[in-house]
Amino acid sequence: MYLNASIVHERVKGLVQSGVMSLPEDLVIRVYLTSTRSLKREVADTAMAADLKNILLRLEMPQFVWCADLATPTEYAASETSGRVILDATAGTYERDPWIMWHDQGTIAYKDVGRGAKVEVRIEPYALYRNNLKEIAAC
Amino acid sequence: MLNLKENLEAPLPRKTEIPSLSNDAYRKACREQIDQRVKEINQHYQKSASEAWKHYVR
Repeated sequence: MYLNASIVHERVKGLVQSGVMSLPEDLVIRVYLTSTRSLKREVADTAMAADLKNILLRLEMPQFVWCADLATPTEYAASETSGRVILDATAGTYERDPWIMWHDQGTIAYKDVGRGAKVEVRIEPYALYRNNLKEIAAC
Repeated sequence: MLNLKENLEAPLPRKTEIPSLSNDAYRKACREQIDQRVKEINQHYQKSASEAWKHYVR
């Protein structure tokens, strides 16, 4: 893997601030690294917009991806998200566009055989990615 | 078990082709600040990943 967490955070923040996505001003950005297999397994088991699930399950991705869940503080407190960005974890440090997919509450944009594609669809908040990223139980 | 059959049988939604997943504002921000920040972060990482984490991830 080439992209480190801080650079992913910086790039995602830049993308959010560019206004390409329709997002509320007050946002929690939750960055995590995962395998494509784990991500797709969780997507398959999570209730979310059918078109989003369909696209995520078919998306061509490297073995590992960086994800950023974009949630309002209220959604985050309820362990939900209404936006997600997926980045190629094998992209070079100085790659400006390591994006594989992003979505907000009304649009899914993704790489489709090397080209960009966009789908307009209503997306309700869905569960944050958990997998093994769970709270540490108090002793 | 990862059972994708049901999901993969559904047709893909109608899509529109777009030139890029980012926009001009993002590219401008890259030229003006993000590229420089990435360079600085990379330098911190080369010295110490734990130090870079303290400085850049909030």
